[in-house]
Amino acid sequence: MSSLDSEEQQIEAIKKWWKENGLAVVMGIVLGVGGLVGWRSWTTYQDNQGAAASILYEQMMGRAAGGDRRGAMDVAEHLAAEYGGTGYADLARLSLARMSYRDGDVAGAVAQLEVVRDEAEIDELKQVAALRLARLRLDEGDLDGAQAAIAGSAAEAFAGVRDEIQGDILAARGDRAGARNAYQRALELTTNDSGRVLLQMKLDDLGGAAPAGDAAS
Amino acid sequence: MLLAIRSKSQSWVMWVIVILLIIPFALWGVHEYFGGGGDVVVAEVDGRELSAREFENTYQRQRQRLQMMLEGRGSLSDLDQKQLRAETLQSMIDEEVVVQAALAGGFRVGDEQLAAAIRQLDVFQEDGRFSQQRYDYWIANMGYSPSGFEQTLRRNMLRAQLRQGLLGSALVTDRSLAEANRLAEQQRSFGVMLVGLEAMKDPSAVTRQDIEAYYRNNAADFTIPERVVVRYVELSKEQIAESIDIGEEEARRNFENFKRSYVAPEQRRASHILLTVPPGADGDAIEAVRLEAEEIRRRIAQGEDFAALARAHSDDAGSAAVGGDLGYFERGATVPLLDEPLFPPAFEEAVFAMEEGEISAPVRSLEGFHIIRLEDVKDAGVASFEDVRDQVVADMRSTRAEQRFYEQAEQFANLVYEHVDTLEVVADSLGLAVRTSAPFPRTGGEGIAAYPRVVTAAFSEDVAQGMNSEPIEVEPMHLVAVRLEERIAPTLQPLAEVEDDIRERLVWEAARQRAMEKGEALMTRLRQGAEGRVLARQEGFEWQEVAGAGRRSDEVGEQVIDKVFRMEHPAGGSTVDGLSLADGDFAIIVLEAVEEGGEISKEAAERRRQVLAEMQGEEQFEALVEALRERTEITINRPSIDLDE
Repeated sequence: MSSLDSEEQQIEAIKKWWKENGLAVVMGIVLGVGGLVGWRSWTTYQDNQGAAASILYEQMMGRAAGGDRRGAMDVAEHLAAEYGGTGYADLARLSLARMSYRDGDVAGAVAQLEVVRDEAEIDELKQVAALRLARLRLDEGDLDGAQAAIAGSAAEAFAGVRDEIQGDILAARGDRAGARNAYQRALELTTNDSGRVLLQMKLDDLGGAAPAGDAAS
Repeated sequence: MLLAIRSKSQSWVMWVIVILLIIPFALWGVHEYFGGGGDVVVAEVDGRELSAREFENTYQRQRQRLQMMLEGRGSLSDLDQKQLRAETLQSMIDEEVVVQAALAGGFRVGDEQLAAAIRQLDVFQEDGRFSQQRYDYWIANMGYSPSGFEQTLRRNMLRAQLRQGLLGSALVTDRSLAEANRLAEQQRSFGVMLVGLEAMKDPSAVTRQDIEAYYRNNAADFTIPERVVVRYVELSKEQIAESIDIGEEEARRNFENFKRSYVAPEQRRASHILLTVPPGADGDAIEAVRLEAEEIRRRIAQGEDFAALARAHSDDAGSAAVGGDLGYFERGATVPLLDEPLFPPAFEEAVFAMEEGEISAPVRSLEGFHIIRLEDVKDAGVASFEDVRDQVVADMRSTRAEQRFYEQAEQFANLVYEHVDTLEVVADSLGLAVRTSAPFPRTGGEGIAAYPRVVTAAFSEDVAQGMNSEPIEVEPMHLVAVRLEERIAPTLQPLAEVEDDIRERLVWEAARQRAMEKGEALMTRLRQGAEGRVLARQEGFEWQEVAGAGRRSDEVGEQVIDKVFRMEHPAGGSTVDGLSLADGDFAIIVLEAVEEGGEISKEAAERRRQVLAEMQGEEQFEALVEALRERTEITINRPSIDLDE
């Protein structure tokens, strides 16, 4: 009957262990389960926020496509105000910037782009906003502002777009050689066909020693 | 111990264990423990695995689409397929990267939104409504499971939201627009002097030594590359068809049997007004609809316009919009793509029993009540045997040749393999001729050498060693086997054969050089202030003045206009530049004035703004995808999908 004996002992040991550590174990489980439940409800909340914003976003795009700018702006403002934690708010702000500009409200457009540049949920959208901001500054004739703005886009992937704006800035400053270089770099990085046509026109218009494309035959 | 556990199973120990087990299952569901695994991974994008199955499905769909576009006008070569595989993988990775970024950025497509999108898709519409049947058919046909399709669509929507967001918000400033206008509409005024090549030619200046030196230095240009002559046999359906005789009697019998396929069926054009009866309607409800239909019928009889009534009352939205018109159709017409009747049987019966211009009493079909007007009858084309005799014979030939081809193709392949040292056996057994090709190089040639696969085979290792090639399917139902007859080593053409060509080339090149030198000398004089028109007259060269030419002006050659628009703006005076043209002439351009593009109409400006916005949005989205790719960890398992390392 020694086995029974030792089983009794084992159970005794477990009971003793439980007395000492039971509270910690229960707390651990409660915390663990609590954490998981919390995490789950957080993701559910995010899903719901995202889905709701998504529907509003489509509504905004629909109205904009239908030519209802006022209506689209209303939805976009609502999105930006109520769903700040989702990327939809960023896209809504980008749209607001465009629509504000078309309404002649340049300051409003700048303000929207600045928010996206600083706070966008997707990092790359910050860079897009920065580059758009640079074009707006250029439009206002604020060359230093434009130069400062393109510094906000650092990724290699945006180099083509960035170089074109850089060329525009330099051309506006009267630095033809610098502008030529910038356009030349942009041309090497741009694959979009119509983008290339425009860049080539900008480059050609600066005249001077054509750095490439002089293959006569 | 086991006994002890059983005895304790009622106690708290068991409960603790059970609860511990329940937690993970409750939170994640059982499937995650058993799903997945076992599939080859094609690529891993930030931890998410793209499976080979996913890849193959996507690839096959792409391929199907391409093949459909080619419509039998050719098939995808091995190279095309490889490229398509690489592109498919790239687009899958791009998509994955964007979807992941969208999800991380809080983008979601809820179930309701997804369902709404599916209901609105054109392909699933029937009579202006979503058709479950069509949906099931379509997704099965495209190789999706319902959940797989939903998943794909959800991902597409996420991606489209981000893309559309960038494209739709692209901000084209007034400055950008003005700049694009200025450049695109720019006009330039200039003069061109042409220093002609012809006048510069001096055959006497080219000596025998020059020609010989050129011949020696450019031996490669005068060397005919290695060529082969092959003997070959062909088995093709066409060739078999020619040898098949079809008797008159036989053809006539065949015509009688398959008359329908040679005769255009009768077609009728009808309009209808449909009043639907809701499914499960009771007798009273049906009667109410019938009375309504009778009423409309009565109004038509009293002279009201059928089309107007159709527009106002018909429940068939598609046809109501065009006054009820259903167009021409034949008996048993089916819905395109689906093997389903286009119209309910009762409706069809009625239409084909009516007289032209007649308006029917309400006809009850599964859909409801139709009031039909028969607009027109196109009689069945009554073809006689004599009319279609050639067609019948050709069709019979083709069918039989096809049968015979498949019977013989196997034998062809076997004999080519078994008697690898000769083509005579296969030729004799199948009654084919062994032909001999003209010599052709690796780049192919005429006749049999026009088929790239034949050329590849002709230069292959096996054939070089004197064996038959494999049977090559050069096009559907056309087999060829070749063996080497003769190999012709690379040969240098004798000088005598190419002497004239070389002389001409040297004379031309010297003339071009002289024209260029002359041109450059003239350019210097122009830069020093000489007037183009005067100078040209003095020197006896052509001079043309062009005022206000746009970028696409065709007043001068393309090379010249391109150059004109690349020249320095003339500040006050004029700018002079020149270029050697493709035909050897030298063009001197004197740019006099640049007029910046002025006002364009408001509509044109708005269109241009739209184009620029699309371009900028597109560029920015491409850059965004590239940036995402740069910062995402991506590993690709190339061999797993047949791509080179």
